[in-house]
Amino acid sequence: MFEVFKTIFLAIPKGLSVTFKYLFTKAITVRYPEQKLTLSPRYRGLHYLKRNEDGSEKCVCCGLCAAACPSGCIYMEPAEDEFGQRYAKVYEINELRCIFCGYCQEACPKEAIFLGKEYEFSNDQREKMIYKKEDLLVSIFGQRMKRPDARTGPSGGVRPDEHSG
Amino acid sequence: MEKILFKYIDFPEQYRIDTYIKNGGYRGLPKALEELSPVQIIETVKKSGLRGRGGAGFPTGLKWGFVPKDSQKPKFLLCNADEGEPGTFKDRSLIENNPHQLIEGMIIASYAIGAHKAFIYIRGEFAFGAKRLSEAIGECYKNGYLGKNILGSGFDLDLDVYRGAGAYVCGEETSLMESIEGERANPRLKPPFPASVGLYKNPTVINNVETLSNISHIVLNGGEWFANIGMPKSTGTKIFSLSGHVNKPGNYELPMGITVRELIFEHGGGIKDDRKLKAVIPGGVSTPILTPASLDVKMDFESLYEAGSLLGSGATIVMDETSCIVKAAYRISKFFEHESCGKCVPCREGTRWIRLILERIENGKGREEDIELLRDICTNIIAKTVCPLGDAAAVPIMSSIEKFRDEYEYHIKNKKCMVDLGTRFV
Amino acid sequence: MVTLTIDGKQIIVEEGTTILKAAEKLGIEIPTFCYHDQLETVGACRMCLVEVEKIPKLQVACATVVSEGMVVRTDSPQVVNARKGVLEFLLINHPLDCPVCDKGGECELQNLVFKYGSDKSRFVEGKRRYIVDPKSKYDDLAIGPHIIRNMNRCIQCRKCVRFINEIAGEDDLGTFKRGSKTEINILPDIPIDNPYSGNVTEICPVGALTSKSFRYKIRVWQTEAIPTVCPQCADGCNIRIWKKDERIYRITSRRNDEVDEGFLCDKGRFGFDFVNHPDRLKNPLIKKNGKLSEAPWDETIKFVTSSFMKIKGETGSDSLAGVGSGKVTNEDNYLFQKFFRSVIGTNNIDHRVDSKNLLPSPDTQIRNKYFGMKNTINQIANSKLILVLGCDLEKEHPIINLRVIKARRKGSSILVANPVSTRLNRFAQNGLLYKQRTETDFLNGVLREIIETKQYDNAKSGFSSSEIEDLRRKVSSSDSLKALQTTGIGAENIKSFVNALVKAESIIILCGAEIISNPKNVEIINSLYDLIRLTGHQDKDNSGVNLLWKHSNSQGTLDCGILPDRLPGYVRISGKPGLNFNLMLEAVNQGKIKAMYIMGSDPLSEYPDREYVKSTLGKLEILLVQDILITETAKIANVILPGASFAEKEGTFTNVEGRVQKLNKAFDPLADSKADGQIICLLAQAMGHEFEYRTPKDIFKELTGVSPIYSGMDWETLGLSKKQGKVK
Repeated sequence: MFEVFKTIFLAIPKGLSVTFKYLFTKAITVRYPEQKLTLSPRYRGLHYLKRNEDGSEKCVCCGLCAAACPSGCIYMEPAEDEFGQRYAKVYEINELRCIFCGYCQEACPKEAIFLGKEYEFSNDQREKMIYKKEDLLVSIFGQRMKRPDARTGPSGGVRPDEHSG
Repeated sequence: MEKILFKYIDFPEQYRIDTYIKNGGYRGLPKALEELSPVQIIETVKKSGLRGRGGAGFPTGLKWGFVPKDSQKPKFLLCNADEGEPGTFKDRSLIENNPHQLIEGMIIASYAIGAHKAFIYIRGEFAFGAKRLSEAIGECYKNGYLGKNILGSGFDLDLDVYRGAGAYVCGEETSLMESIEGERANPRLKPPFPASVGLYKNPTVINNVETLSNISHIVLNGGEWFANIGMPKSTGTKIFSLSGHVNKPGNYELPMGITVRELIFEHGGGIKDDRKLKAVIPGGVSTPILTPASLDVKMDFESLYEAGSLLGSGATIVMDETSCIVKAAYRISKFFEHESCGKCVPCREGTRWIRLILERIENGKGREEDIELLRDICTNIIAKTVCPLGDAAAVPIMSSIEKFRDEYEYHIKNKKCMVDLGTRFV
Repeated sequence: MVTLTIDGKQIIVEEGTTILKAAEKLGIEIPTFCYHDQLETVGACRMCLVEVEKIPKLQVACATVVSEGMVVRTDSPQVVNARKGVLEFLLINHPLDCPVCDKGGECELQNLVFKYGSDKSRFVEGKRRYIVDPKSKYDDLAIGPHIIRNMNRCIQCRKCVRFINEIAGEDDLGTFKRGSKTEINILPDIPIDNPYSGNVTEICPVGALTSKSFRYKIRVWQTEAIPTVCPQCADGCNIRIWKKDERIYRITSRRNDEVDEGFLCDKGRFGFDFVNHPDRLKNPLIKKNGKLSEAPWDETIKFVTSSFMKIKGETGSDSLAGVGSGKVTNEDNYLFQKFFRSVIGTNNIDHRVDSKNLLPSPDTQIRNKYFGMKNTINQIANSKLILVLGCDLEKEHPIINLRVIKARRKGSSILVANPVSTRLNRFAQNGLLYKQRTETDFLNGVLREIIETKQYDNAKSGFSSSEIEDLRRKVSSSDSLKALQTTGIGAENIKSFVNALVKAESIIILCGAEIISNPKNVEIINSLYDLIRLTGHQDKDNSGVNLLWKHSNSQGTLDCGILPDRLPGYVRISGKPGLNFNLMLEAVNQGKIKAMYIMGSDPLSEYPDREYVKSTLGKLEILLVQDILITETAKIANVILPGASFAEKEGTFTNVEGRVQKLNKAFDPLADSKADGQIICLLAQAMGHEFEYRTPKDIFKELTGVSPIYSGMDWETLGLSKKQGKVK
């Protein structure tokens, strides 16, 4: 009987002492979204597609990112442009499926696809999470082209590689 | 020493049939047709020890012996007059000045192997030589040396001149045949060798101009007579085309086995302006380069092989101290890149790569690792191509690196030439 | 036999075998680029260099013939370095544009570099470019309607040029310039435009020659290859369909040395648009108020069966008729005839809608005159003389045409006799042009020449002297002499023609559609048999008369009894035979036939007299057409049922030589369409009959039980390449 009381009356204060100890130390969490953490330089966020210096798309739709993708979230359709060259007519990434492993970036022989630092792109519509080529392409200066939905999509004018939340 | 092939080379109008006959021509032919059987002629040639003068030095009698005797197929004799090796100009002289000597040899050779059709494949650039040959052949037909029933012996032979279209690779026997057949001049795989499957897939013998020119003399004077000239294994005389920095360049007919020194300093009159000798290419640009240390090497097939080079076609190119080996190698590589037929990979791609690297070194953009790279490329070409052109392109570069590595290194390090070229060109 | 050792393993091979073949037998891989066993060996790529003991130089395995006691090493450091060297040489000028190259993923250079090459580049200079347009960055050039060339990627193995020259017998592709500037090209402004041009894209080890239709469509690893059989002509080439989801991206060859030897014609290779055509029928259509409108399946089936029952009940089962097709599978055809014979109860079945002049039905189970081919496709290449009569072989049977060219290459003579000049004439020793419909007169002239000049082989022919006399009288009559004048062929030509014929050691005669649908077809075929007998070749292997059917499964359709007077396997019908297509049309006009079910055929485009068919079929109460596209016939139909294309169903095709080959399903039938067999089952079941087949396999099994010529065939072993079945 005494053993039981001992367990209850001694263990509870012991456990709570840990709680109270942390109550008075500095908080580990931040007040998101007012406050934001600094990201690791290797952070892998939302994808973006780069352009060449002359403004053309770097991606030639070779399909290696799709082949490397472990979750099968990249879909593409190649086509021939007016110069007879290959380009991506359709390029889609299903960000719901993506696990942000970065294999696509590794595999890309043209250094076209990168994983940026954006992570705020949640949405309440599944369709909007399928990012089209226009959503992914950045300008020559590396800025997002499109601003489909300010709060939930990639915002225009933002540099995805520098953006940190 | 008495000359054999060049005895009447500068005799006025030697190219005419009557002059040729007056000077002792067309004596071997009647002897061969009347007194000797084909087998006996082949035996005589075998006894003479005559070896091919085109470069490879294959025993001529043996080559003729390979032609199947019982074959029902027509046989062909080809004369390789596609003299394209830079530094070689002996056949041209033989053709232009003494065409009947060659034709007589060809008739005897055709009789020996049983060919009734023979071709002279002459280099396209030798327009004058082709004209002389055609005229000489016309004379022969008129005088009964060619055509049906030659000299009443019952032996028929037709001889044609076929002019090439300017490809070095046509000097290679199988490409030459492709060229005559009207195909792209690409060498064929060997075996089968031309002696069994040659022109139009029939047994074919192909010999150099100088080789065939010797035949009438051998038949006339006997194999032993010829075998006594020169060295035991390289018999007879050889025409050396001496060129480069010598006082008296030109064709010299000398017995096999004279030394390089004798050739350059006695016959060639020494180096121009008494400069120092730097290098000798003994057998045309496709043979390995020699340094002055090899001056006492005898000029015959065996001795030069032992000295790390080849007799080739006997075209001796002399370079004095003012010549830059890298530049010479670059020039050679350019030639072979241009002349590669493009059939097999190592030669087609390798020759271009060698040229690009040498061009870089020559232009002062060489890297240290380039020398080893060049050696590696050469190793990857040598003995891995369809025909000897690959070897010919890689061997001189390889030997120039081995013997003159310091010059390459100087070039790469100092981005300029070791010797002051001034306005002179190699 | 020669014994040799390769990599320590001993093997005994036949004399004359190359090291490469011997190593293949041992399962040792020797990499090659320029080697192709159908082409002359050139030994140019130097990739197959191997070390042979006692020979100082490395030898090319593709051309070096084995000798007794030879010791070969394919893995010595020397060999490994040589391969590395060759690959390095090839790569210095090969552009790194694999991401955009259509060959990427199935490129031999990629594979071999991955396996044998070095992973470092020592080449710092600029890569070679073959500039097509100085203004453009890219060097692609369309050299023909189907082919795009990118010389930068070329490794100059010249397999394409050799294929075009040696196999196709054309010269519209060639090698230009030399050395490092060597270029594969067409002659200026003469595009490569022969029916075999597509093969170069398959034969090319790199992406130098790629096909226009597959250009930038998909990566090969995203597609799936389904082995099946080409539906375009009766040759029955084995193919692979490369598909993703419900779409065919390309067709490549699946080598079968008995049939196609690994080559396809451009029609077979590029002609698959119809499968994914937007105009494909997706739903059943019923004509209401003169307009075709979509209807659900159950309604359509009900409508069709009730109409059939009504007509059967009113005027008897013979007022219905069925028209099968040589374009659908054996299983579909078998079910079709079963449906008509057992469910409807009529023998009014036929499939020969393209001719007014029908050959008699083959009579027994043994091959007789009207069966099709007496010889196999492979035997054609071995015959010493090939006579092509009334056939534009290149258009009608491109792959058989290749065998004829092959025979020519091996030294056989080719004789061609046609109303118009064909492309094969360029190989013909004798190419005769006779006036149309004078085949019999021409053949009589030939026979007369043989008999009159006594050049026939009396002993071997087996003709008695009276038979010869009869024949002589027939062909030497004044009428036939006069008729010979009308053929437009001079006596001299006949003479040289006959000279070639009687000298030949074996004769194969190939007859095309012109002969089969000829008004005097029976007479012509008899004359040809007389010819074969007179020259003494009737019992020889490499000799015979061959009728070349038109459609991919024409032979199978005959075999399956889509004939008014024969059951499957040419079993003679005991009672009164049904009507053939010509008689059916007459019966329609007389009002005796009220409903017709046409499966896969298009009489309006195929029958010689279009207007007659159109007006006749228009009189039918019910015209049911089952097809995959709205054909001319379908346009006038009351009911259209959407069938499935060759890529969408399983089944078997019997090719022109009688080889039963299996089709595999690549994907499900489009939208609401159904496989033809399934539709027939639905109809039969709706009419109260038990047509319980789960798969085409069940149908085939029943067919092998019913038809004596298919007996013993096993669906499973019909499978792939060499195991393809064969009609005995």
